[in-house]
Amino acid sequence: MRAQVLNTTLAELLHSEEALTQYQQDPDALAARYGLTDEERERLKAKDMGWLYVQGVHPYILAQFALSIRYDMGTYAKQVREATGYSSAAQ
Amino acid sequence: MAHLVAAMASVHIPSLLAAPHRFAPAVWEKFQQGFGTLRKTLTTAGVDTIVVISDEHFNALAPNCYPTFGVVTAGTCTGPVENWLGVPRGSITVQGVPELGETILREGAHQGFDLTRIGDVHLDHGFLTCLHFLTPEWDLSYLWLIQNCVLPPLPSVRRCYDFGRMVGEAIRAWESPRRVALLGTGGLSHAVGTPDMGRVDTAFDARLLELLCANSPAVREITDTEMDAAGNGTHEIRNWVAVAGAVAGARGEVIMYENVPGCGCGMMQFEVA
Repeated sequence: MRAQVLNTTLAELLHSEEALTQYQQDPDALAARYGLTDEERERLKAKDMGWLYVQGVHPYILAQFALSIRYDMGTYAKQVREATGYSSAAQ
Repeated sequence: MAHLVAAMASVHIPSLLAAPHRFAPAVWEKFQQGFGTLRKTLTTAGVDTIVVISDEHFNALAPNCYPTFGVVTAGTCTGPVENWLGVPRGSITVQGVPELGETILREGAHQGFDLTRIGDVHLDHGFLTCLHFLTPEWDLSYLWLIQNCVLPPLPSVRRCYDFGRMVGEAIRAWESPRRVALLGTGGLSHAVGTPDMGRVDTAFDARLLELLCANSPAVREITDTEMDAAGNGTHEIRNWVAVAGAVAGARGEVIMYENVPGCGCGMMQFEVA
């Protein structure tokens, strides 16, 4: 259920200039608008990609959210790997 | 009746638009030669209409309202919807083909495919990336068929092959003098946003391309488990398989393949009589 709320919120940021601007300028208002919990709001503000991934945000949505805010994708990969305990020779 | 005169497939790796500087010059040239070959096929065949089969990546369609098989029936569509694609958001407008969309809707219903009619949708990189290189003037007509390759449960590969076969029959049954090309986009092996992002499974890609070039029925037996093991983005090969289904029996050739870091990249085309 919470994953659905997070996915809906982040998907909105992918195509709505207005929502993305609100996230960047007034994230508390955006969180209130989409009914995020306090923790969801703070994790989203902190760009805690690992936590969001573990909560069930779709990887396509999460990765493109990162791209849309010009987030460093190396940091993104590090965060989701640490959050999931992933280890591979491919890293 | 309309003529299906070309059938091809290509990766739609967005960095071709968003970050071309990241490609080594020799690799970039390989892509350009590949697109050049496909572009020549379109020109030689006199194509005036391109039907794109691709998933949408939640840039315009939300995950709580996503079709298994969808057809965009708008008269015009605009994109890209992404703000990171290296092409100004909303700067491209393409001419749609509502009549063909409705024809496919009807033929699908007759053959057991209940497609979702999508009146309008902003275009994302699944639709735009290859066409940016293939028809840079955007001077043809375009129809977007959306297959769900991203939101489980996904249609089976066999189902996508049959979907393509239905689409091929619908195009050929369309009462129009149009000369139509099919373009499947996405894949090949890659992982998007997951902890294993960066992985490429060249063995999987080689086997897939071999099956597609032979238009072997075995291509329909590829499983979700196999694709999961090659990365979540690998599920987009359904868009290639659908094209194979549309020209069942036609053999194909690989135009290019390159193990670009993070994505097995390829292009192919089928010999369409």
